[in-house]
Amino acid sequence: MSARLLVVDDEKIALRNLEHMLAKEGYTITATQSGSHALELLDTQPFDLLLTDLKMEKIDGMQLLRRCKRSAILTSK
Amino acid sequence: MLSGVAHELNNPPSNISSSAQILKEDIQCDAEFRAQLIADIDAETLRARRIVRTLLDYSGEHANEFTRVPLAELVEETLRFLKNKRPAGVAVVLDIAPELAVFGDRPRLQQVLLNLIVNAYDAMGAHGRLIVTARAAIVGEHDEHFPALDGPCRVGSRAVDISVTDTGPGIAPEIIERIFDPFFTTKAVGHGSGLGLFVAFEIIEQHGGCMAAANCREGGAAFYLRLPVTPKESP
Repeated sequence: MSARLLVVDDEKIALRNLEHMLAKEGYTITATQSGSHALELLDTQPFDLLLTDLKMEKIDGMQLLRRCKRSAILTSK
Repeated sequence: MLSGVAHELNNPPSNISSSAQILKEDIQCDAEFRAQLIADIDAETLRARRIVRTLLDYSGEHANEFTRVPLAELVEETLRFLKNKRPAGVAVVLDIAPELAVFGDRPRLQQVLLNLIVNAYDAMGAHGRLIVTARAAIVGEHDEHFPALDGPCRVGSRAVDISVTDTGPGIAPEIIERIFDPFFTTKAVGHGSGLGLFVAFEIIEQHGGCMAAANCREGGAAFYLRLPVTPKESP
């Protein structure tokens, strides 16, 4: 099974391009523009890697990373 | 603000670069996607040019250039510039119809919004709500927010009324008459030039508009701007 990546960026074009490039490399991508939506996804789905923009409205990238670190959300392989 | 502008300026070249890279490496991709990538490169180039022009306008002498300025887009861009300055506990509420526009100098009007929004963020501290609204108006009707009406707005002319409201402690009654005076500030030494509201007031007057401040009944401060819609409406 390919690695599951959660990609977060509030820039629509950046997110779409990243999603396209990574999917082409064979990864399974879930993409969202919203930090709070990313938190919901992290709580409900398993991911192997989080790739996030840092500066975003409301929930920023650092908050997402802290959340992952605190709850050991990402799967370890 | 500088880091916000730098971040904003960094986005278009990144998007142009990644779109160009996809076109280069994946030339066989779907025609519709290819057309979208090219359109994005074009749009992001214009976006970068506008940001650089805005910076140049702020950096030196600037001759006013009056054009039609769509308001919602201007407010949204200003909020993006100040993204890093907004406390995490402050919510932003916008109520601006997408078709609303005023006649003015875009960088100068953005300067006014920047000054008002920075003041609102500073006043609220960690938590609160910033509300920016705009409505079409006729001068002479519903003038309750502009009691003095000492600006050059002409009765009967079409205008847009903008409000910038916060949920901070409001403006102390004893200073409300002086807040637009040059070098008047309530901020600590080194934190405010005392020119922000003065400059904002001057800019709005140059645009043939009016500006007023008040305390909201439910708490917090409100700044009201009235701007002409077309060249005919300005003095």
